[in-house]
Order: sequence, then C-alpha cells, then structure tokens
Amino acid sequence: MSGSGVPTWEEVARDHGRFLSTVAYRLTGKDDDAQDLVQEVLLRVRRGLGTYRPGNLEGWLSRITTNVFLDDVRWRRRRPSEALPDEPERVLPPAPGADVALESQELPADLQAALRLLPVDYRAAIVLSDVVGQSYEEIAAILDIPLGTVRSRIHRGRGLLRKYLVAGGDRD
Amino acid sequence: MTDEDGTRHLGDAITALLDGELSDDEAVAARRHLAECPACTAEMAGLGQMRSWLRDLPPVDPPPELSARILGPSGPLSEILGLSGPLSGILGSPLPPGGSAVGPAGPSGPPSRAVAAPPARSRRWAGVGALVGCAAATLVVLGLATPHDPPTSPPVAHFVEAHATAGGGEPVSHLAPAVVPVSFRR
Repeated sequence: MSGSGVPTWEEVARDHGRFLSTVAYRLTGKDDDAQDLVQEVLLRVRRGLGTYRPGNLEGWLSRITTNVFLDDVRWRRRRPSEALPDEPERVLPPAPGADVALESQELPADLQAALRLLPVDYRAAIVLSDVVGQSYEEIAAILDIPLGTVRSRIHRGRGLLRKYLVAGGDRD
Repeated sequence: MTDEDGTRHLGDAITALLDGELSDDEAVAARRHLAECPACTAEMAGLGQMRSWLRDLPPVDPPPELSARILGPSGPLSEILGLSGPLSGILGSPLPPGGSAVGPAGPSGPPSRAVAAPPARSRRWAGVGALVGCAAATLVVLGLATPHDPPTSPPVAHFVEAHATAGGGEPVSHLAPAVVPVSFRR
C-alpha cells in the first residue's frame, strides 16, 4: 500500500477479490451476472482509486458494487426483452418447517434463491447489512436514502425472506 | 405499527433492535413492549432467525474462468491486443495448460464451468484501456498466477466485521442467537 494509505489497484484485486465476488453473487444470484459485476467493479475501482480517501475500503467497494448493480437493474428494466425474475413457486422447493430448514444442507442455496426474489432495493439493503456488515448510517450513505428507509427496507426484506422460506408463510 | 384493535406493535423497530440501531431509551422501551407482546416476540424470533441465516452465508470465491473470460483468446483484452491464442507468458503469468481455467469451486461457491466466450452483454461493460492494467492483477486475484495455491475457503467463514456498537446483536431466543461475525480479511 502506498504511503498515503490508498491501496494500489493490484492490492485491491488481490486482497478483496473474494469480498467482491461474494457481494456480487449475493446481489445478483447468478454466476454470469456476478462475474460481469465483478469485472465492471474492478474497472471502476481502477479508475476511481485516485479519488478514494483512506478509511472504510470495504464500504467504498460496497458502494461501487451496489451502485453498479442497481444501475444495471434500471438499465434492464428499460429493455423489455430482458428476462424477469422467476415466480417463487418455480424457483424455491416446498418450504420445509423451520426446524428442518435449520438442519438443511440446502439452506444457503434456498436462501440465495429467496434473496433473488426480493425487490432489488430490499435486497441491496439486506446484502449491505447482513452480508457486508455495514451500519444503517453507512447503508444510508451508500444508497443515498434516509435512515428510516434503510430500517424499513431491511425489516421488510427479512420479513419477505421469512415468508418465502418458512412453512406456512404465504408466498404472495 | 397498529393492529385493527388499536394495539400498537413495534414494526420495524424490531429490526433496529436486532441490529443494535436503537438508542438506549428506545431499546428499553422496545424490550418493555416485548415482555408484554407475544406477537412482537414471535416476529422478533423469526426475523432474528433470518438475520442469523443471512450472516452465516458462506463467502463466494471468484471462479477461475472469470480471469480467462477477461484475458482468454475470446476475451475483450485479446481482441484489443489482436491476439489469437492464449495469453500465457505475455503478462508473465502463465495460464493453466490448454488455456482452460476450469478448476474446483470453493466449498460453497457456485460450480465451475468450462471456459466459454463471454456473453455479448459483458462486452457492454468492457473498458478498453483499463483492461490492460487490470490483466496481471486479475490473474493473481483469480488464482491463475499461482494455480497451486492452497484452497482459500475456510470452513463457514464469517467475513462481516464484528459490530462494535454497545447494543449490537440482541440474543432473542435459542432459535436465533446473536451472531457476532468476524472479519474475513487476511
């Protein structure tokens, strides 16, 4: 790392590639989309390192990753030919009981599938909170939304996930 | 949030309490309500369980073929440089034999696939000049510069930093214990 505390691009790519890959996959839910996202993020990181102020590097990387992801979603929405997310019944297996789900080896895959069903705004807030570990204040800054909206999106997002995954919930 | 009978419930304050984002006074008031409200207590247990499951999701390793997709014979960089074959040796970092980047997936990551031409939409995002500088470091980060590195995935890794806030992580029940994740940084 340079004396100024700003990492080199190579250091970011080497030391945080797994972080980027994880955030990208949790946001997109698809291998190809996650790889596209990581590729674009690395390019933007390289261009943007000159403006990076040493501090919360993962927060900075999260901001880039999330914004690129959301920008792409908005781009896709303007193109009706792009595939829409599958309906819950076609994506998720029958919901097990809560006690079975706790023991299930399929939980990570089921949870990822459920994540992908969330509205992207809820998904972004939850990934930043529960995957990246950002505080509400940090998430508000990244997404440029009020603190109350952060809280609401995380609350509703977790509620929807619970509805998708736990037996007896309505998948509407 | 208010029920049809006028009973006030915690609503999203439950989530803020779980995440340690309430002030001390707000947290005291919320816990007082929970002591008297089975509905909110049950909701908190359920949401706490989701929070734990999300925080227990394993990290996802970047697939080996990502580097080949960027740098391989059909990748945007080779097109830019006018290359017709694998980039082995050009950047000082050899690709695996045959130019293939197929390798084992991390224990919980998405499965590896054979190298294929990047989909058309990936070219939409490809930057020209920046890819040249990205190439060598990409090989390193994606494991191709040192293909015999030991596996990088620890068992069920937590890579979320431990929350240092005083009120972080309410243990809500035996079903949803508070999770204090640790950094996955090396």
